[in-house]
Amino acid sequence: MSRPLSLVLPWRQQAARRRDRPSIRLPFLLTLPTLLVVFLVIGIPLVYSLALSLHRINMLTQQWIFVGLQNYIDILPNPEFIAALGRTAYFAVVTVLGGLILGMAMALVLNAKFPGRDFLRSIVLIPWAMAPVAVGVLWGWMFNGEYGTLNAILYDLGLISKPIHWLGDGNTAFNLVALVHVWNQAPLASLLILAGLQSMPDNLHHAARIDGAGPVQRFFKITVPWLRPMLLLIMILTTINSIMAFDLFWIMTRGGPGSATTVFSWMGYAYAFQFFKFGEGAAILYVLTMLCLVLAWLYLKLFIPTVGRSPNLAAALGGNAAREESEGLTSSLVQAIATPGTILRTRLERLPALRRRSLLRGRTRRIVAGVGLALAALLIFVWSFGPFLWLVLMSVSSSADLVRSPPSLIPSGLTFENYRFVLFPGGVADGQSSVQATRVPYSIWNSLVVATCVTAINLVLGSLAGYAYARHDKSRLMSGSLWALMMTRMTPSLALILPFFIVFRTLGLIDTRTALVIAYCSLILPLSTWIMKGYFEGMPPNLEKAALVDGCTRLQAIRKIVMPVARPGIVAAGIFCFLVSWNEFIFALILTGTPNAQTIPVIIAGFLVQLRFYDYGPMFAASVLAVIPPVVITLAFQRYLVRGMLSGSLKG
Amino acid sequence: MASVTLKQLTKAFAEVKAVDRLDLHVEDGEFLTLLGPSGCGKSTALACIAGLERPTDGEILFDSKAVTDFEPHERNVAMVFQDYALYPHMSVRENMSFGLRQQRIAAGTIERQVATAAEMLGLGPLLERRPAELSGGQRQRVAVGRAVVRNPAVFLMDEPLSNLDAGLRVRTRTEIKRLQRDLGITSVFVTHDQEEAMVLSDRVAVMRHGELQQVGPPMEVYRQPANLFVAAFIGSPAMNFFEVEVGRENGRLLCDIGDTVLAIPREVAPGISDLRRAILGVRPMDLVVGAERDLAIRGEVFLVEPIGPIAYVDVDVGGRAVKAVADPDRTPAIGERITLGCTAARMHLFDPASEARL
Repeated sequence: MSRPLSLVLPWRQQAARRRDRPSIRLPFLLTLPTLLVVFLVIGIPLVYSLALSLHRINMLTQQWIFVGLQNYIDILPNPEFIAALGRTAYFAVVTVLGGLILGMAMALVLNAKFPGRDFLRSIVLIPWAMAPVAVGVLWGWMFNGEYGTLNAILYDLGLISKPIHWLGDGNTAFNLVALVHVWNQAPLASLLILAGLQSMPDNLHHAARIDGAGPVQRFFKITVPWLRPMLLLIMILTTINSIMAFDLFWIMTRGGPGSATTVFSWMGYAYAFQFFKFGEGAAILYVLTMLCLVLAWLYLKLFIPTVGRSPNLAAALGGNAAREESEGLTSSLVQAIATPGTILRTRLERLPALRRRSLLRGRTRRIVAGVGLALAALLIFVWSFGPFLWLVLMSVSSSADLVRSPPSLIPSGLTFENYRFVLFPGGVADGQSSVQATRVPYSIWNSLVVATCVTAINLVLGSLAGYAYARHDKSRLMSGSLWALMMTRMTPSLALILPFFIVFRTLGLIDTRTALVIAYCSLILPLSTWIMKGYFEGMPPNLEKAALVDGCTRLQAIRKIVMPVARPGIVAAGIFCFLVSWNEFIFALILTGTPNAQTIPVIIAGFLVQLRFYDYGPMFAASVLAVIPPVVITLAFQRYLVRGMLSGSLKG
Repeated sequence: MASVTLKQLTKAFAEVKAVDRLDLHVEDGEFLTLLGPSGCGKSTALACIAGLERPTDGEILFDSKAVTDFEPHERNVAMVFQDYALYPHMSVRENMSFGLRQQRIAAGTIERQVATAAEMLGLGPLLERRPAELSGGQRQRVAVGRAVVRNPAVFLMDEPLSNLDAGLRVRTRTEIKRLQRDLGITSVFVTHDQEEAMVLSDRVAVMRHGELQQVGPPMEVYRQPANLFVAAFIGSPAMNFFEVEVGRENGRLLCDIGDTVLAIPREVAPGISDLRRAILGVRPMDLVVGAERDLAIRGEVFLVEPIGPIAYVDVDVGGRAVKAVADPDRTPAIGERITLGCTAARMHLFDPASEARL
């Protein structure tokens, strides 16, 4: 640092300046790649799509005609548009509340002590790890109007004589999609809430128990207030997920019947990619983006008093309060007790002991609680694991079994032919794989390549940026860029697809894995940066200082000390990256056109489009293959996930 | 107010017995401290008294009434936690009145109780603040206030002072003692700090590995430690120990330390008849450099540590480091050969196998 040169007067000032600068320059350099990727890849398309939404584009002549706000003026009073808006709002409210309540219930059970808890904590994550496309295929089949599982159960039980078209009725279909969305999203809420519950000091509940608060009161007066910042985070995340929900609609209802399940995102997609009205489509998606940003802002405003109350923020805002005292008020304590000592005894009243007795006494209550807990655990297990198991079962049923009429649950036998069709399309002796089935192996390879690249890039860029933000959030440059980075997370990815498509087409990147990697990185980087920032913040800063004292350079300190210690956070972020990019559907759908770059979710969706009855078996086999990697990874690293989330999101 | 009786109290976590057949009686209005190193089971015992932990075996009586199966709120206890466990989203006033509101006390009474307790603890100006806006010492007092305001039958404290800095801790413990005397609440206090235990308690119960080692008034535990563990744990700096051989001769006990033979009056250890191995313990405070006492030990000074009122002197006695005290204004020089005077009655002898006092 300060070399002998600094003793020479003219040099000293410069040296001092130099000493100031690296402290901000290095962290900024560390975040630069992330910022560049995110803002280039998200910012430019956003501007581009804004421009799109102000034009009318003739697809044949490629002519752009500036129409100002005409697209918005056209769509806004459109009753179709209003109806879609209403449906989106309904969908968001139902799924956010449903996910929150279910997630809370599951987290409370998973926070209790019982044998097999760790196992159940892993199982619970299965629905969340599964690709939404596979989820849609699975549940779509359950509710299938002819051969579906639900019909089969009812038929086997003799309750119906004619299959019911569950998804044929608009309202039912819409609510069923909402249910499936909750099934898919609740584990995330429960994971976050569980992390919050684990961060809660036990003594808080002990104190409340001694104070006489029952379980229900403790939940509402102690637990919920404690979790409020966490609940805010969950609400923001799940609201955006609900508003952007697309995959399930695509797979299960495609906006129908009629327009009963046409939500906003579907409408934007349909306008842009089915009717090729790019201008209107962009306008709809832009409204969607604004909606998400406004909602995020509203949540923050609504909850900001809570955030203000949280210790670190309070300390940051009005830290003086905590720093005063030590002596000042203690002396008044001495006066209060030492001087008028005797009168105090008479003034503190003897209060009656709490007379309220618990409803059930000791042993009975414990037995009831134990049975209740076991039941709840069993329910959670069935809810989380049952459908997954069912998917596996269907993948080993013969196609003929799946489309029996009348439907039945009882298989005539188990077979691995479906897997043979999708895994070894060439060499099947008795029967030929369908065209779609032959594409499965290569699409898995595509998914693997894309997900691995995205994860690797995210871990390198995200950890550097996360570290820089964690250690240097004081400077305006850093906090401002972090804020901007997080705002991009609020942008619905659907809104970016149209400009991505056009930009990538111009660059000749359509139908390449590179396009997918670029798109996914820009989408995921803010989140992985955020997770790792949270983890780094939990590490003592003296760790690097010790390394610096021991003779490391700052980069060496990061590489040799910080990164190894931060492994749980990095693993958690890596899992997120892998999961998101493996499961992503809509970008892959739009940005790829041929099997050269199509990922497994796109191929599965392709089965549905072709709808050949003998392809159901291979489709389920492909779905199982698609969910196995994320499920296995999630189960294997469940512990890391909770730890990573714990440190990552509490600060949020 | 109530007395507290523990009968054969046992709490096992899986295979480990955190508390092992603990028998203890706390008189009405008494201040009893559970003292021991971390992991000795003192906090678990306290949690059992509070009702937060369910004992594996044994009974807990409040005023000879069994409360073993009672929920915490049915016992009328109040507790101060080491981390204070203040409700972070409630103001000081709400924190203090939370328990009273659960008891369905009239609003006027609650207000009076809180005001009184706040005055006693000097919390008046802080009532509307939240815990995050308080200093450590203030939080500690709010925790005490929250417990006191309910005027409980039994007042439980789990290391309430250990998160305070040294000066504040000494002042606060004085206040706790005064408060307890004034209110006359039966109190059970848990600490690993033997000085805190000595200062505060009517009686001290020393625990180790879940088992009670000795219970008695502080000075009795200090002067007559029941076994080697209590002797080593109580007192700072720790007692000096020597492995010795003792035998009776002319009605006196003889034992050698280094190159010195000590003659100890047999009253110190009436149980000893034949020549046997033993552990001799003597506190640094009872070994005074240059003093004329009934026994003398010779050694060579190798370190001097003045602490103000006295100075500790480390002396090499036959190859063993022995801590003694000296007048801080007349400390010996390093390397000087000196004589340590000690009173024979302040010698403690323990059996090396059973560790019990002889």
